[in-house]
Amino acid sequence: MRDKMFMRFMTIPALLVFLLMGVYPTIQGLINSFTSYNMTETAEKKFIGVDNYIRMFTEMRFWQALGRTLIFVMLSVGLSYMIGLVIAVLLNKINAVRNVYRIIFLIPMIIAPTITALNFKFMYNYNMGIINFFLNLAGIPNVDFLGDPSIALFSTLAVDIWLGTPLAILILLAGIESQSEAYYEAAKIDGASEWQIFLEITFPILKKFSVIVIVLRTMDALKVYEVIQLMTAGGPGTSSETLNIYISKAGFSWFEMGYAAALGIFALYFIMFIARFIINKTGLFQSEVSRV
Amino acid sequence: MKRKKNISQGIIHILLILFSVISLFPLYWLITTSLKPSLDVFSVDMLGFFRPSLENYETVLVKDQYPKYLLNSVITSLFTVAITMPIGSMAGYAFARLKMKKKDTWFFMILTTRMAPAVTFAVPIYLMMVGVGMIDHTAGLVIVYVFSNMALCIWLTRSFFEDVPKEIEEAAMVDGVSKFGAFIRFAVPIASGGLVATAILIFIFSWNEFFFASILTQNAAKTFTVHLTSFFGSKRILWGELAAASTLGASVPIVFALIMKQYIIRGLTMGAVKE
Repeated sequence: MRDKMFMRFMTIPALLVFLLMGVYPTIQGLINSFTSYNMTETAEKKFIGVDNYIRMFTEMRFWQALGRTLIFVMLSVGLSYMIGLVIAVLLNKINAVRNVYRIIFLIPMIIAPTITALNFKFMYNYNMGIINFFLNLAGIPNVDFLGDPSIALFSTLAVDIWLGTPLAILILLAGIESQSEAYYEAAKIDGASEWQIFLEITFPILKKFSVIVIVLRTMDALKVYEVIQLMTAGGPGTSSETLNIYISKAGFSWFEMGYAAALGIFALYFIMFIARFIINKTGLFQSEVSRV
Repeated sequence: MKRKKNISQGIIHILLILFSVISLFPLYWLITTSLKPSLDVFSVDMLGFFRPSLENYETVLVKDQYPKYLLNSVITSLFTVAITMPIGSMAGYAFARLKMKKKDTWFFMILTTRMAPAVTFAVPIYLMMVGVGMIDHTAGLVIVYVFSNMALCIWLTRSFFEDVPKEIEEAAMVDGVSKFGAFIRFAVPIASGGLVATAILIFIFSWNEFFFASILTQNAAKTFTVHLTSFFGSKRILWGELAAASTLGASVPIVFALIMKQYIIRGLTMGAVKE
Protein backbone atom coordinates (compact mmCIF):
# COMPACT_ATOMS: atom_id res chain seq x y z
CA MET A 1 0.00 0.00 0.00
CA ARG A 2 2.79 2.42 0.87
CA ASP A 3 4.44 1.34 -2.33
CA LYS A 4 1.41 2.55 -4.21
CA MET A 5 1.52 5.90 -2.42
CA PHE A 6 5.15 6.35 -3.38
CA MET A 7 4.50 5.58 -7.03
CA ARG A 8 1.56 8.02 -7.05
CA PHE A 9 3.88 10.66 -5.67
CA MET A 10 6.34 9.95 -8.48
CA THR A 11 3.72 10.78 -11.11
CA ILE A 12 2.59 14.06 -9.51
CA PRO A 13 5.04 16.41 -11.29
CA ALA A 14 4.13 14.94 -14.68
CA LEU A 15 0.45 15.20 -13.80
CA LEU A 16 0.91 18.90 -12.98
CA VAL A 17 2.53 19.47 -16.39
CA PHE A 18 -0.43 17.79 -18.11
CA LEU A 19 -2.91 19.80 -16.05
CA LEU A 20 -1.19 23.14 -16.62
CA MET A 21 -0.35 22.75 -20.31
CA GLY A 22 -2.87 20.17 -21.48
CA VAL A 23 -6.06 20.36 -19.47
CA TYR A 24 -6.08 24.09 -18.68
CA PRO A 25 -5.58 25.21 -22.30
CA THR A 26 -8.22 22.72 -23.43
CA ILE A 27 -10.75 24.21 -21.01
CA GLN A 28 -9.72 27.73 -22.02
CA GLY A 29 -10.06 26.71 -25.65
CA LEU A 30 -13.53 25.36 -24.97
CA ILE A 31 -14.55 28.63 -23.31
CA ASN A 32 -13.05 30.73 -26.09
CA SER A 33 -14.81 28.64 -28.70
CA PHE A 34 -18.13 30.08 -27.50
CA THR A 35 -16.96 33.67 -27.90
CA SER A 36 -16.38 36.10 -30.68
CA TYR A 37 -12.84 37.23 -30.17
CA ASN A 38 -10.76 38.83 -32.86
CA MET A 39 -7.42 40.11 -31.61
CA THR A 40 -7.12 42.68 -34.40
CA GLU A 41 -10.35 44.41 -33.36
CA THR A 42 -10.77 46.54 -30.29
CA ALA A 43 -14.22 45.05 -29.56
CA GLU A 44 -14.41 43.09 -26.34
CA LYS A 45 -14.64 39.36 -26.31
CA LYS A 46 -18.33 38.46 -26.20
CA PHE A 47 -20.31 35.31 -25.71
CA ILE A 48 -21.97 34.10 -28.91
CA GLY A 49 -23.06 30.58 -27.99
CA VAL A 50 -22.47 27.93 -30.60
CA ASP A 51 -22.16 30.37 -33.51
CA ASN A 52 -18.53 29.41 -34.14
CA TYR A 53 -19.51 25.76 -34.39
CA ILE A 54 -22.41 26.57 -36.70
CA ARG A 55 -20.05 28.60 -38.87
CA MET A 56 -17.58 25.70 -38.88
CA PHE A 57 -20.10 23.06 -39.89
CA THR A 58 -21.73 25.21 -42.54
CA GLU A 59 -18.50 26.39 -44.08
CA MET A 60 -17.54 24.48 -47.23
CA ARG A 61 -13.89 25.34 -46.71
CA PHE A 62 -13.87 23.45 -43.39
CA TRP A 63 -15.30 20.27 -44.90
CA GLN A 64 -12.86 20.49 -47.79
CA ALA A 65 -9.95 20.86 -45.37
CA LEU A 66 -11.20 17.89 -43.35
CA GLY A 67 -11.61 15.82 -46.51
CA ARG A 68 -8.09 16.69 -47.65
CA THR A 69 -6.76 15.75 -44.24
CA LEU A 70 -8.41 12.32 -44.46
CA ILE A 71 -7.10 11.74 -47.99
CA PHE A 72 -3.66 12.91 -46.96
CA VAL A 73 -3.54 10.65 -43.89
CA MET A 74 -4.88 7.57 -45.67
CA LEU A 75 -2.56 7.89 -48.65
CA SER A 76 0.46 8.79 -46.57
CA VAL A 77 -0.05 5.92 -44.13
CA GLY A 78 -1.05 3.39 -46.77
CA LEU A 79 1.72 4.13 -49.25
CA SER A 80 4.49 4.46 -46.69
CA TYR A 81 3.37 1.17 -45.17
CA MET A 82 3.43 -0.63 -48.51
CA ILE A 83 6.76 0.79 -49.63
CA GLY A 84 8.17 0.12 -46.17
CA LEU A 85 7.02 -3.50 -46.30
CA VAL A 86 8.67 -4.11 -49.67
CA ILE A 87 11.96 -2.56 -48.56
CA ALA A 88 11.93 -4.42 -45.23
CA VAL A 89 11.38 -7.76 -46.96
CA LEU A 90 14.20 -6.98 -49.40
CA LEU A 91 16.51 -5.94 -46.56
CA ASN A 92 15.81 -9.20 -44.80
CA LYS A 93 17.06 -11.09 -47.83
CA ILE A 94 20.53 -9.59 -47.76
CA ASN A 95 23.02 -10.39 -45.07
CA ALA A 96 25.76 -7.82 -45.40
CA VAL A 97 25.52 -4.06 -44.82
CA ARG A 98 22.01 -4.15 -43.34
CA ASN A 99 23.20 -1.76 -40.64
CA VAL A 100 24.49 0.72 -43.19
CA TYR A 101 20.99 0.86 -44.65
CA ARG A 102 19.57 1.41 -41.18
CA ILE A 103 21.68 4.53 -40.79
CA ILE A 104 20.72 5.75 -44.25
CA PHE A 105 17.03 5.37 -43.45
CA LEU A 106 17.43 7.13 -40.13
CA ILE A 107 18.49 10.39 -41.75
CA PRO A 108 15.18 11.55 -43.31
CA MET A 109 13.50 10.97 -39.94
CA ILE A 110 15.72 13.16 -37.80
CA ILE A 111 16.29 16.22 -39.97
CA ALA A 112 13.92 19.06 -39.03
CA PRO A 113 10.75 18.92 -41.16
CA THR A 114 11.29 22.65 -41.69
CA ILE A 115 14.57 21.95 -43.46
CA THR A 116 13.06 19.12 -45.48
CA ALA A 117 10.10 21.25 -46.55
CA LEU A 118 12.25 24.19 -47.66
CA ASN A 119 14.71 21.88 -49.40
CA PHE A 120 11.95 20.15 -51.36
CA LYS A 121 10.50 23.52 -52.26
CA PHE A 122 13.86 24.28 -53.86
CA MET A 123 14.00 20.92 -55.64
CA TYR A 124 10.38 21.26 -56.84
CA ASN A 125 11.10 24.66 -58.43
CA TYR A 126 9.29 24.94 -61.76
CA ASN A 127 12.03 26.36 -63.99
CA MET A 128 15.23 25.45 -62.25
CA GLY A 129 14.47 22.68 -59.80
CA ILE A 130 16.47 19.48 -59.93
CA ILE A 131 13.39 17.26 -60.11
CA ASN A 132 12.16 18.95 -63.27
CA PHE A 133 15.71 18.68 -64.62
CA PHE A 134 15.54 14.90 -64.19
CA LEU A 135 12.06 14.80 -65.74
CA ASN A 136 13.35 16.73 -68.74
CA LEU A 137 16.18 14.24 -69.14
CA ALA A 138 13.52 11.53 -69.31
CA GLY A 139 11.66 13.54 -71.93
CA ILE A 140 8.87 14.72 -69.62
CA PRO A 141 7.94 18.41 -69.75
CA ASN A 142 8.21 20.57 -66.62
CA VAL A 143 5.66 19.94 -63.89
CA ASP A 144 4.47 22.80 -61.71
CA PHE A 145 4.60 20.73 -58.52
CA LEU A 146 3.59 23.43 -56.06
CA GLY A 147 1.78 25.87 -58.35
CA ASP A 148 -0.76 23.58 -59.99
CA PRO A 149 -3.88 23.27 -57.81
CA SER A 150 -4.51 19.70 -58.92
CA ILE A 151 -0.99 18.57 -58.00
CA ALA A 152 0.09 20.68 -55.02
CA LEU A 153 -1.46 18.51 -52.29
CA PHE A 154 0.10 15.40 -53.78
CA SER A 155 3.50 17.07 -54.01
CA THR A 156 3.37 17.71 -50.28
CA LEU A 157 2.08 14.17 -49.74
CA ALA A 158 5.11 12.77 -51.57
CA VAL A 159 7.39 14.62 -49.15
CA ASP A 160 5.48 13.22 -46.17
CA ILE A 161 5.81 9.71 -47.57
CA TRP A 162 9.52 10.32 -48.08
CA LEU A 163 9.69 11.40 -44.41
CA GLY A 164 7.57 8.58 -43.02
CA THR A 165 8.61 5.48 -44.93
CA PRO A 166 11.87 4.93 -43.01
CA LEU A 167 9.88 4.50 -39.78
CA ALA A 168 7.80 1.77 -41.43
CA ILE A 169 10.94 0.07 -42.74
CA LEU A 170 12.69 0.03 -39.37
CA ILE A 171 9.71 -1.37 -37.46
CA LEU A 172 8.73 -3.96 -40.07
CA LEU A 173 12.33 -5.11 -40.48
CA ALA A 174 12.60 -5.58 -36.71
CA GLY A 175 9.39 -7.60 -36.89
CA ILE A 176 10.69 -9.88 -39.62
CA GLU A 177 14.02 -10.29 -37.84
CA SER A 178 12.30 -11.24 -34.58
CA GLN A 179 11.00 -14.44 -36.13
CA SER A 180 13.02 -17.61 -36.20
CA GLU A 181 14.53 -18.83 -39.44
CA ALA A 182 13.13 -22.29 -38.80
CA TYR A 183 9.70 -21.44 -40.21
CA TYR A 184 11.18 -20.27 -43.48
CA GLU A 185 13.48 -23.25 -43.78
CA ALA A 186 10.60 -25.66 -43.16
CA ALA A 187 8.45 -23.90 -45.75
CA LYS A 188 11.26 -23.99 -48.30
CA ILE A 189 11.77 -27.70 -47.76
CA ASP A 190 8.05 -28.19 -48.35
CA GLY A 191 8.54 -26.50 -51.69
CA ALA A 192 6.72 -23.22 -50.99
CA SER A 193 7.44 -20.35 -53.39
CA GLU A 194 8.84 -17.03 -52.19
CA TRP A 195 5.44 -15.44 -52.72
CA GLN A 196 3.66 -18.16 -50.70
CA ILE A 197 6.19 -17.76 -47.90
CA PHE A 198 5.52 -14.03 -47.83
CA LEU A 199 1.73 -14.37 -47.82
CA GLU A 200 1.44 -17.26 -45.41
CA ILE A 201 4.34 -16.79 -43.02
CA THR A 202 5.90 -13.32 -43.12
CA PHE A 203 2.74 -11.28 -43.41
CA PRO A 204 0.76 -12.89 -40.54
CA ILE A 205 3.82 -12.70 -38.29
CA LEU A 206 4.01 -9.00 -39.00
CA LYS A 207 0.47 -8.25 -37.84
CA LYS A 208 1.44 -6.73 -34.51
CA PHE A 209 4.25 -4.71 -36.07
CA SER A 210 1.96 -3.53 -38.85
CA VAL A 211 -0.46 -2.18 -36.25
CA ILE A 212 2.36 -0.23 -34.59
CA VAL A 213 3.45 1.21 -37.94
CA ILE A 214 -0.08 2.25 -38.79
CA VAL A 215 -0.67 3.84 -35.38
CA LEU A 216 2.58 5.81 -35.38
CA ARG A 217 2.29 6.86 -39.01
CA THR A 218 -1.32 7.97 -38.48
CA MET A 219 -0.21 10.15 -35.57
CA ASP A 220 2.52 11.73 -37.65
CA ALA A 221 0.37 12.22 -40.73
CA LEU A 222 -2.34 13.91 -38.65
CA LYS A 223 0.29 16.30 -37.33
CA VAL A 224 1.72 17.39 -40.66
CA TYR A 225 2.22 21.13 -40.65
CA GLU A 226 5.62 22.37 -41.84
CA VAL A 227 5.65 20.31 -45.01
CA ILE A 228 2.45 21.97 -46.23
CA GLN A 229 2.72 25.38 -44.60
CA LEU A 230 6.25 26.08 -45.85
CA MET A 231 5.86 24.62 -49.34
CA THR A 232 2.41 25.80 -50.41
CA ALA A 233 0.85 27.50 -47.33
CA GLY A 234 -2.29 25.62 -48.29
CA GLY A 235 -2.30 27.03 -51.81
CA PRO A 236 -2.64 27.65 -54.63
CA GLY A 237 -6.01 28.97 -53.50
CA THR A 238 -7.00 26.46 -50.87
CA SER A 239 -6.08 23.41 -52.93
CA SER A 240 -3.65 21.94 -50.39
CA GLU A 241 -5.23 23.34 -47.23
CA THR A 242 -5.59 20.65 -44.56
CA LEU A 243 -7.29 21.04 -41.19
CA ASN A 244 -4.06 22.02 -39.42
CA ILE A 245 -3.31 24.72 -41.97
CA TYR A 246 -6.89 26.01 -41.83
CA ILE A 247 -6.79 26.26 -38.02
CA SER A 248 -3.49 28.08 -37.99
CA LYS A 249 -4.77 30.50 -40.64
CA ALA A 250 -7.92 31.23 -38.65
CA GLY A 251 -5.88 31.82 -35.50
CA PHE A 252 -2.69 33.42 -36.63
CA SER A 253 -3.44 35.05 -39.99
CA TRP A 254 -6.97 36.28 -39.32
CA PHE A 255 -6.60 36.36 -35.51
CA GLU A 256 -10.13 35.01 -35.11
CA MET A 257 -9.29 33.35 -31.85
CA GLY A 258 -12.82 32.24 -31.01
CA TYR A 259 -13.33 30.50 -34.32
CA ALA A 260 -9.83 29.00 -34.29
CA ALA A 261 -10.47 27.70 -30.77
CA ALA A 262 -13.65 25.99 -31.96
CA LEU A 263 -11.74 24.38 -34.81
CA GLY A 264 -9.03 23.30 -32.38
CA ILE A 265 -11.61 21.68 -30.06
CA PHE A 266 -13.12 19.84 -33.00
CA ALA A 267 -9.69 18.60 -34.13
CA LEU A 268 -8.84 17.47 -30.60
CA TYR A 269 -12.05 15.44 -30.25
CA PHE A 270 -11.57 14.05 -33.71
CA ILE A 271 -8.11 12.83 -32.71
CA MET A 272 -9.27 11.47 -29.36
CA PHE A 273 -11.90 9.54 -31.26
CA ILE A 274 -9.23 8.05 -33.52
CA ALA A 275 -7.04 7.27 -30.47
CA ARG A 276 -9.95 5.51 -28.75
CA PHE A 277 -10.68 3.61 -31.91
CA ILE A 278 -7.08 2.48 -32.16
CA ILE A 279 -6.96 1.42 -28.50
CA ASN A 280 -10.16 -0.58 -28.74
CA LYS A 281 -9.67 -2.15 -32.13
CA THR A 282 -6.03 -3.09 -31.96
CA GLY A 283 -5.70 -4.22 -28.36
CA LEU A 284 -2.27 -2.64 -28.51
CA PHE A 285 -2.51 -1.18 -25.04
CA GLN A 286 -4.51 -3.89 -23.30
CA SER A 287 -1.50 -6.17 -23.62
CA GLU A 288 0.64 -3.50 -22.01
CA VAL A 289 -1.73 -3.21 -19.06
CA SER A 290 -2.15 -6.92 -18.48
CA ARG A 291 1.55 -7.58 -18.70
CA VAL A 292 2.47 -5.45 -15.70
CA MET B 1 20.83 -22.77 -58.55
CA LYS B 2 23.69 -20.79 -57.03
CA ARG B 3 23.80 -18.57 -60.07
CA LYS B 4 20.08 -17.86 -59.87
CA LYS B 5 20.52 -16.85 -56.25
CA ASN B 6 23.34 -14.50 -57.17
CA ILE B 7 21.19 -12.80 -59.78
CA SER B 8 18.29 -12.27 -57.39
CA GLN B 9 20.70 -10.95 -54.75
CA GLY B 10 21.98 -8.55 -57.39
CA ILE B 11 18.47 -7.29 -58.17
CA ILE B 12 17.72 -6.84 -54.47
CA HIS B 13 20.88 -4.79 -54.00
CA ILE B 14 20.05 -2.62 -56.99
CA LEU B 15 16.56 -1.91 -55.64
CA LEU B 16 17.89 -1.11 -52.17
CA ILE B 17 20.59 1.16 -53.54
CA LEU B 18 17.99 2.95 -55.65
CA PHE B 19 15.81 3.50 -52.59
CA SER B 20 18.82 4.70 -50.57
CA VAL B 21 19.64 7.21 -53.29
CA ILE B 22 16.09 8.57 -53.06
CA SER B 23 16.46 8.81 -49.27
CA LEU B 24 19.81 10.53 -49.32
CA PHE B 25 19.63 12.65 -52.46
CA PRO B 26 17.81 15.61 -50.83
CA LEU B 27 20.54 15.87 -48.18
CA TYR B 28 23.25 15.57 -50.83
CA TRP B 29 21.58 18.25 -52.91
CA LEU B 30 21.22 20.51 -49.87
CA ILE B 31 24.93 20.26 -49.10
CA THR B 32 26.08 20.81 -52.69
CA THR B 33 23.71 23.79 -53.03
CA SER B 34 25.20 25.28 -49.88
CA LEU B 35 28.66 25.09 -51.48
CA LYS B 36 27.68 26.76 -54.73
CA PRO B 37 28.57 30.40 -55.27
CA SER B 38 25.43 32.51 -55.56
CA LEU B 39 25.58 32.76 -59.37
CA ASP B 40 25.55 28.97 -59.72
CA VAL B 41 22.87 28.24 -57.17
CA PHE B 42 20.49 26.69 -59.68
CA SER B 43 23.21 24.91 -61.67
CA VAL B 44 22.46 21.23 -61.98
CA ASP B 45 26.06 20.08 -61.92
CA MET B 46 25.79 16.89 -59.94
CA LEU B 47 29.29 16.04 -59.04
CA GLY B 48 30.65 19.38 -58.10
CA PHE B 49 31.83 20.78 -61.43
CA PHE B 50 31.37 24.14 -59.87
CA ARG B 51 33.94 25.98 -57.85
CA PRO B 52 33.01 25.01 -54.30
CA SER B 53 32.89 28.03 -52.08
CA LEU B 54 32.21 28.72 -48.46
CA GLU B 55 30.72 32.10 -49.35
CA ASN B 56 27.22 31.08 -48.20
CA TYR B 57 28.50 29.85 -44.86
CA GLU B 58 30.42 33.06 -44.37
CA THR B 59 27.31 35.12 -45.10
CA VAL B 60 25.17 33.07 -42.76
CA LEU B 61 27.62 32.89 -39.88
CA VAL B 62 29.25 36.31 -40.05
CA LYS B 63 26.92 38.79 -41.76
CA ASP B 64 23.65 37.26 -40.66
CA GLN B 65 22.38 36.85 -37.13
CA TYR B 66 22.10 33.09 -37.61
CA PRO B 67 24.54 32.12 -34.81
CA LYS B 68 22.31 33.95 -32.34
CA TYR B 69 19.30 31.87 -33.37
CA LEU B 70 21.30 28.65 -33.31
CA LEU B 71 22.32 29.53 -29.78
CA ASN B 72 18.66 30.17 -28.89
CA SER B 73 17.85 26.69 -30.20
CA VAL B 74 20.64 25.18 -28.10
CA ILE B 75 19.47 26.93 -24.94
CA THR B 76 15.79 26.14 -25.52
CA SER B 77 16.52 22.48 -26.21
CA LEU B 78 18.88 22.06 -23.26
CA PHE B 79 16.41 23.56 -20.79
CA THR B 80 13.62 21.43 -22.23
CA VAL B 81 15.69 18.28 -21.68
CA ALA B 82 16.78 19.36 -18.19
CA ILE B 83 13.19 19.87 -17.05
CA THR B 84 11.46 17.07 -18.95
CA MET B 85 13.86 14.27 -18.05
CA PRO B 86 13.57 14.22 -14.24
CA ILE B 87 9.78 14.72 -14.28
CA GLY B 88 9.19 12.25 -17.10
CA SER B 89 11.51 9.53 -15.85
CA MET B 90 9.95 9.62 -12.37
CA ALA B 91 6.55 8.99 -13.92
CA GLY B 92 8.01 6.45 -16.35
CA TYR B 93 9.53 4.56 -13.43
CA ALA B 94 6.20 4.56 -11.59
CA PHE B 95 4.46 3.10 -14.64
CA ALA B 96 7.13 0.46 -15.03
CA ARG B 97 6.69 -0.68 -11.42
CA LEU B 98 3.12 0.02 -10.50
CA LYS B 99 0.08 -2.20 -10.73
CA MET B 100 -2.57 0.36 -11.35
CA LYS B 101 -6.17 0.21 -12.42
CA LYS B 102 -6.30 3.66 -13.97
CA LYS B 103 -3.32 2.92 -16.17
CA ASP B 104 -5.53 2.75 -19.23
CA THR B 105 -6.67 6.33 -18.66
CA TRP B 106 -3.07 7.47 -18.39
CA PHE B 107 -2.15 5.71 -21.61
CA PHE B 108 -5.09 7.31 -23.34
CA MET B 109 -3.99 10.73 -22.12
CA ILE B 110 -0.41 10.08 -23.14
CA LEU B 111 -1.43 8.83 -26.54
CA THR B 112 -3.76 11.77 -27.13
CA THR B 113 -1.12 14.39 -26.31
CA ARG B 114 1.33 12.50 -28.47
CA MET B 115 -1.18 12.42 -31.34
CA ALA B 116 -2.73 15.85 -31.11
CA PRO B 117 -1.32 18.28 -33.65
CA ALA B 118 0.25 21.35 -32.08
CA VAL B 119 -2.40 23.58 -33.65
CA THR B 120 -5.16 22.09 -31.50
CA PHE B 121 -3.53 23.57 -28.41
CA ALA B 122 -2.19 26.61 -30.21
CA VAL B 123 -4.86 29.23 -29.56
CA PRO B 124 -5.24 28.72 -25.79
CA ILE B 125 -1.49 28.34 -25.27
CA TYR B 126 -0.85 31.47 -27.32
CA LEU B 127 -3.44 33.45 -25.34
CA MET B 128 -2.01 32.08 -22.09
CA MET B 129 1.50 33.20 -23.07
CA VAL B 130 0.19 36.63 -24.08
CA GLY B 131 -1.60 36.80 -20.71
CA VAL B 132 1.52 36.13 -18.66
CA GLY B 133 3.78 38.20 -20.92
CA MET B 134 5.89 35.26 -22.09
CA ILE B 135 5.73 35.94 -25.81
CA ASP B 136 9.24 36.00 -27.27
CA HIS B 137 10.72 34.56 -24.07
CA THR B 138 12.76 31.38 -24.14
CA ALA B 139 11.09 30.31 -20.90
CA GLY B 140 7.65 30.35 -22.53
CA LEU B 141 8.84 28.14 -25.37
CA VAL B 142 10.56 25.77 -22.95
CA ILE B 143 7.35 25.27 -20.95
CA VAL B 144 5.48 24.36 -24.12
CA TYR B 145 8.21 21.95 -25.21
CA VAL B 146 8.30 20.30 -21.79
CA PHE B 147 4.61 19.57 -22.19
CA SER B 148 4.81 18.39 -25.78
CA ASN B 149 7.72 16.01 -25.03
CA MET B 150 6.40 14.71 -21.70
CA ALA B 151 4.30 11.90 -23.16
CA LEU B 152 7.20 10.63 -25.23
CA CYS B 153 9.53 10.84 -22.24
CA ILE B 154 7.21 8.86 -19.94
CA TRP B 155 6.54 6.29 -22.62
CA LEU B 156 10.20 5.66 -23.41
CA THR B 157 11.64 5.78 -19.90
CA ARG B 158 8.94 3.32 -18.82
CA SER B 159 10.15 0.94 -21.51
CA PHE B 160 13.78 1.33 -20.39
CA PHE B 161 12.95 0.92 -16.68
CA GLU B 162 11.04 -2.26 -17.45
CA ASP B 163 14.33 -3.72 -18.64
CA VAL B 164 15.83 -3.13 -15.16
CA PRO B 165 15.38 -6.19 -12.92
CA LYS B 166 13.12 -5.35 -9.99
CA GLU B 167 15.14 -7.63 -7.70
CA ILE B 168 18.09 -5.24 -7.60
CA GLU B 169 15.97 -2.46 -6.10
CA GLU B 170 14.24 -4.87 -3.75
CA ALA B 171 17.59 -6.11 -2.47
CA ALA B 172 18.71 -2.52 -1.95
CA MET B 173 15.54 -1.70 0.00
CA VAL B 174 16.10 -4.72 2.23
CA ASP B 175 19.47 -3.15 2.99
CA GLY B 176 17.67 -0.04 4.21
CA VAL B 177 17.75 2.16 1.11
CA SER B 178 14.62 4.29 0.75
CA LYS B 179 12.29 3.85 -2.22
CA PHE B 180 13.44 7.09 -3.79
CA GLY B 181 17.04 6.10 -3.06
CA ALA B 182 16.52 2.80 -4.84
CA PHE B 183 15.23 4.73 -7.85
CA ILE B 184 18.06 7.27 -7.94
CA ARG B 185 20.96 5.05 -6.94
CA PHE B 186 20.03 1.79 -8.67
CA ALA B 187 17.30 2.06 -11.33
CA VAL B 188 18.59 5.28 -12.93
CA PRO B 189 22.24 4.20 -13.32
CA ILE B 190 21.25 0.81 -14.74
CA ALA B 191 18.86 2.42 -17.26
CA SER B 192 21.26 5.28 -18.00
CA GLY B 193 21.94 4.30 -21.62
CA GLY B 194 18.26 4.45 -22.42
CA LEU B 195 17.77 7.64 -20.43
CA VAL B 196 20.57 9.39 -22.31
CA ALA B 197 18.99 8.29 -25.58
CA THR B 198 15.60 9.63 -24.46
CA ALA B 199 17.26 12.92 -23.54
CA ILE B 200 18.91 13.13 -26.96
CA LEU B 201 15.64 12.39 -28.69
CA ILE B 202 13.89 15.14 -26.74
CA PHE B 203 16.77 17.47 -27.61
CA ILE B 204 16.34 16.64 -31.31
CA PHE B 205 12.56 17.18 -31.19
CA SER B 206 12.94 20.53 -29.45
CA TRP B 207 15.73 21.47 -31.86
CA ASN B 208 13.54 20.63 -34.87
CA GLU B 209 10.28 22.18 -33.62
CA PHE B 210 8.81 24.88 -35.81
CA PHE B 211 5.14 25.58 -35.15
CA PHE B 212 5.18 26.86 -31.56
CA ALA B 213 8.45 28.68 -32.14
CA SER B 214 6.85 30.48 -35.07
CA ILE B 215 3.85 31.70 -33.07
CA LEU B 216 5.47 32.30 -29.67
CA THR B 217 8.68 34.07 -30.65
CA GLN B 218 9.50 37.16 -32.66
CA ASN B 219 13.17 37.97 -32.40
CA ALA B 220 14.80 37.71 -28.98
CA ALA B 221 13.86 34.06 -28.42
CA LYS B 222 13.53 33.04 -32.09
CA THR B 223 14.97 29.62 -32.88
CA PHE B 224 16.88 28.61 -35.99
CA THR B 225 13.96 26.79 -37.67
CA VAL B 226 11.90 29.97 -37.68
CA HIS B 227 14.83 32.02 -38.89
CA LEU B 228 15.23 29.74 -41.91
CA THR B 229 12.00 31.11 -43.32
CA SER B 230 13.43 34.62 -43.29
CA PHE B 231 15.75 33.74 -46.18
CA PHE B 232 12.63 34.12 -48.29
CA GLY B 233 13.09 37.83 -48.90
CA SER B 234 10.41 40.01 -50.41
CA LYS B 235 12.51 40.48 -53.55
CA ARG B 236 14.32 37.19 -53.92
CA ILE B 237 14.91 33.92 -52.18
CA LEU B 238 18.43 33.40 -50.87
CA TRP B 239 18.63 29.70 -51.74
CA GLY B 240 22.38 29.34 -51.25
CA GLU B 241 22.33 30.95 -47.83
CA LEU B 242 19.25 28.95 -46.89
CA ALA B 243 21.00 25.74 -47.89
CA ALA B 244 24.07 26.62 -45.81
CA ALA B 245 21.94 27.50 -42.79
CA SER B 246 19.88 24.32 -43.26
CA THR B 247 22.98 22.15 -43.51
CA LEU B 248 24.22 23.55 -40.20
CA GLY B 249 20.83 22.97 -38.59
CA ALA B 250 20.59 19.42 -39.90
CA SER B 251 24.08 18.43 -38.82
CA VAL B 252 23.27 18.42 -35.09
CA PRO B 253 20.62 15.64 -35.15
CA ILE B 254 22.63 13.68 -37.71
CA VAL B 255 25.70 13.60 -35.46
CA PHE B 256 23.57 12.48 -32.50
CA ALA B 257 21.89 9.79 -34.57
CA LEU B 258 25.18 8.39 -35.78
CA ILE B 259 26.52 8.18 -32.24
CA MET B 260 23.44 6.61 -30.67
CA LYS B 261 21.87 4.86 -33.63
CA GLN B 262 20.37 1.86 -31.85
CA TYR B 263 18.74 3.78 -29.01
CA ILE B 264 17.47 6.49 -31.34
CA ILE B 265 15.77 3.88 -33.50
CA ARG B 266 14.13 2.44 -30.40
CA GLY B 267 12.97 5.89 -29.39
CA LEU B 268 11.65 6.97 -32.78
CA THR B 269 9.67 3.76 -33.08
CA MET B 270 8.21 4.39 -29.59
CA GLY B 271 9.97 1.33 -28.22
CA ALA B 272 8.69 -1.05 -30.90
CA VAL B 273 12.21 -1.83 -32.10
CA LYS B 274 14.45 -3.17 -29.33
CA GLU B 275 17.86 -4.61 -29.79
